[in-house]
Amino acid sequence: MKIETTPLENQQVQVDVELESEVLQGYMRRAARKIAQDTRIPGFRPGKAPFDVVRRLYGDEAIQKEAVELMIDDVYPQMLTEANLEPSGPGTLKEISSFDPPKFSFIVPLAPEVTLGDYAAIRKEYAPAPVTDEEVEKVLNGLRNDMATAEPAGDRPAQEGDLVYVDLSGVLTQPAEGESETIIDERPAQFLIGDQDNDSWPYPGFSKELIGLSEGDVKDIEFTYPEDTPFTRLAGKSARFTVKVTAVKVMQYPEMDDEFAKSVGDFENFQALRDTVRTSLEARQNSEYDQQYVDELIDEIIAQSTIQYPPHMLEEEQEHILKHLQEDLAERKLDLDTYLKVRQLDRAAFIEQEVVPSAKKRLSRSLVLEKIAQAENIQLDKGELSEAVNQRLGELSQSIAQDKKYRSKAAQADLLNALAFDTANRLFNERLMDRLKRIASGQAEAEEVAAAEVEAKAAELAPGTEGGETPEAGTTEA
Amino acid sequence: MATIYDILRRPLVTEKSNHQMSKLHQYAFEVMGDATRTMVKEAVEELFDVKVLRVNIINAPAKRSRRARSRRVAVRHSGYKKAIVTLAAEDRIPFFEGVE
Repeated sequence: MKIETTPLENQQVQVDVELESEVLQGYMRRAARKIAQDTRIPGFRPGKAPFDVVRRLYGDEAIQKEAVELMIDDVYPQMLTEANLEPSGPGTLKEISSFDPPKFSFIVPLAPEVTLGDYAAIRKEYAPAPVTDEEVEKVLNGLRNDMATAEPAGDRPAQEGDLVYVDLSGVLTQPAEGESETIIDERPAQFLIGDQDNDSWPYPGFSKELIGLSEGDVKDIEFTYPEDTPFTRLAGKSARFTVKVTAVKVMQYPEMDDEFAKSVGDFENFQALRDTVRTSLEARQNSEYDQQYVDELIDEIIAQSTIQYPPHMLEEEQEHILKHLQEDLAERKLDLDTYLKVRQLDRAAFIEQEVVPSAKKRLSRSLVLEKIAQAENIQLDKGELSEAVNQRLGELSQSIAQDKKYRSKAAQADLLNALAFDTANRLFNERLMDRLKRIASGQAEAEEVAAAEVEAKAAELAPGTEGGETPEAGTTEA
Repeated sequence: MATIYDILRRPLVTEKSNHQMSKLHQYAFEVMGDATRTMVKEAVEELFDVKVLRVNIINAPAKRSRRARSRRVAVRHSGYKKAIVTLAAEDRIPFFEGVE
């Protein structure tokens, strides 16, 4: 076997293989036997027809074709070991330049190559915005609104802050031909006057019109929708709403005190509630900030690195994205074709414009992360993993026990596997992100200095355990 | 009057005849219904330019069977006369052995 390799761009290698012609003969015989096995030849039991008979019936070409297939199945792995290649995916046969002696050229994709830039030198300021008192207040106010009760206001006309129950109907004043006049058939509705958050229906500011009305009053309100209203059907049209007030109620807000804190949840006093709100807000804001921070960081690292991957990886990524999209659409009871029709794109353009760029991005991201994980020697140990899996299993056990799907042993095993895999992934990612964050924010550097001191004190500390030891040592000293 | 060109109808290539050919130097033909050993011998010697040592003749009977898919339909296979011709050791009929 003669092998010649020529590297191509995109992490691919073209391999030309030349074989001896005797080898071909052997494969021709095998191919004939295979043809005889698969087809019925009159006068012969399947697989018993001799080479000559098969050749006369099917011709040399058919046998050759079959022989080449058989040969490639055998030659390909042999070639890989001899040429010392490590493919990252299935290779393709580029061409068969001759049959006798057999000459093939394959294109073999290699593992992607990532050269990281000096990612450890990237510094980015890590400063999550602190939670302000106003934000805390806002959440607390929301809680208070939820706990509010409405008391009848008697004959008093409605004023700001009241809850007004009305029967509402609306018609278009100048309906277009063939258009139904009614927009709102008479129906009960309630408005909290001056409520900023839920004030878009039937149009923004509508509730203000109710000020001064008391129970039993009827009022006509005219309104012309602007062109850019979210109710596109009504854009630019004028409408008349008729309200009949059925009740006016005063909102009774609970006092912000320890009593309130107890009624909201199991809090000892108001301060405890406030603290809990603050910490949960902080946690949420921090995790959002972390996500964004790391995202930007990774983008920077990608910009610095050179990444080369064979085209089949990109294709796989594209398929992955498309599959996800289809699943998402299926949940909304759509299929891809309808989705494309709605977007007014054809499939090729859609893939070109949207799928390919995002596939490229995802791929480079995952390749870079993988490389960093390698470079930083990030690993999970078994104990941690099983602990985390058990914890999640505990959280889920209730729903698993109820779900009929998981009655069988096999389904349980599957679930456990999936869970373990998912948990491992999650833990690993967490660890990696954390590490990245530390490096970029300069924390890791400080830790290394600290670790060096520790190491100086305890010289027997192996370098391999450094990763595990430094964060604690660093945080205490830094 | 039948000529020698009418006597041999077609060569029989089957697993059995293949074996006879390669091991026993015998070649099988389907022949005309009223052919005799002598007529077959003359015809083979003339057409293929070989020396015939022996001719065995057998009448393969007609057979009835049913069609494979629709088992109700009966099929009739007509019978034929088969001649097995033994050639001299040095002779052969290349026609039987694949494409020449």
